[in-house]
Amino acid sequence: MIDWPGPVLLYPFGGVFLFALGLYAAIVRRHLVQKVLGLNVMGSGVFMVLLSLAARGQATDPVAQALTLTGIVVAASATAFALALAVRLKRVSGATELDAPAGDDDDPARER
Amino acid sequence: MSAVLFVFDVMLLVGIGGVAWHCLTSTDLFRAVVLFIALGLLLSMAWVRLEAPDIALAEAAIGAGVTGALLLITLERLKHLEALSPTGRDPEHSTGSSAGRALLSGVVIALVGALGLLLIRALLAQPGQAGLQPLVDAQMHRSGVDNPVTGVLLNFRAYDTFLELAVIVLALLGAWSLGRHESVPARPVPGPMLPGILRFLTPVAIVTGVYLLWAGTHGPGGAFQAGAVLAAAGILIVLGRPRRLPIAPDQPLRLGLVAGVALFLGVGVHGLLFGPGFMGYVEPWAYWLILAIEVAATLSIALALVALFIGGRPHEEDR
Repeated sequence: MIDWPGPVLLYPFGGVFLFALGLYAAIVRRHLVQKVLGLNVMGSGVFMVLLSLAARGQATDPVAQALTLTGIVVAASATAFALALAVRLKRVSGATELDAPAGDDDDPARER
Repeated sequence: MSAVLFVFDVMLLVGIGGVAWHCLTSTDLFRAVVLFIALGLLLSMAWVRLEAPDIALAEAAIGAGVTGALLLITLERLKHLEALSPTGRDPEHSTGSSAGRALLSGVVIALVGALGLLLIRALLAQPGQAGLQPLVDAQMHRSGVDNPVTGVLLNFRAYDTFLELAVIVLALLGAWSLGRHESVPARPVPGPMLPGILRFLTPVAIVTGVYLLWAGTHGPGGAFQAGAVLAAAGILIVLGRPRRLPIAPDQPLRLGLVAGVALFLGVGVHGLLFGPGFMGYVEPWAYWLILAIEVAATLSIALALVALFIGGRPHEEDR
């Protein structure tokens, strides 16, 4: 019989994977909506690390839970604002990505 | 039992990782958004496994539900604008050399991988302690509520929650500053299904929302989950009549939007003058003050989320 110490052992690494994957997508993907999705996945990774570290005690640490709840709501607000900005950009310039106009692809100033 | 749980954890994590991967690498935006919503639901199952039912509720209602609706309506808006004035650019095959893209991609993979390994190293070095849970437990009898998460949110760390409510209002102000609100670009509504479902679901959503609000003081639930469920009802109503948005009277709408922040601030200042300090409660009233703040916060959150979904400020202001 395996003495399984609970989800504590696995979930932090899942969180790190989500964070890294989201960061990759937020940098490499070009469509603004895809960048926003990447940022949201990064956030979910952070929440997973926080909650799995909080779950080590007898009961899950309520302070970390409250922090995560705050984080989810703030992430949703920021997402709403970012999407409103994306729609505005589309309306004004017709673009859905933050590209340098002439197609010089390696321009590091492209992000943000 | 523990072996079954181990298999479940592994499967859930593989599922989450796979869905996130397909969501972020998909070139079809609609597919990506649908996968993102599915990811939210899987995550809320993970939060249940981590014994955080409050977070699971919030993730399902806010993370998957409201954010998903916002993403879908944004895709519709972008498509609508593209149809109005085609730019002729295909976003999936935009300009730039493929060698440059491959190089960028490789560099980013290396950086992100190194960062991930560093994070894992840092996690392994974490001391195995219970954190602040014993401290919260010892003080819970003074908080006025029975649910420790609500106790932390609205009493011990009330200042964080106050600022969080302010962030929602700020996001809405930002969205409003970008333009006036317009009719939701919707596809032709087919048949009597949508109105029928609306008539059926709206009361259920309202009852669920009010229950979650009431439950928050002694069990999983609270203002944020309740606000999100009520906002879902509001979004459904907006979707039911996309061409003619319900015009809310301006002054009550604005009052409702700031009610949560305003009441919270008022109670906080009251605590400064007559109680233990800023954002502290006079102890015998703590339960009632928390309940009042939660009711006002629920109203503000629900209104703000629906307003963010509609996007843009009301028309009357510009005349």
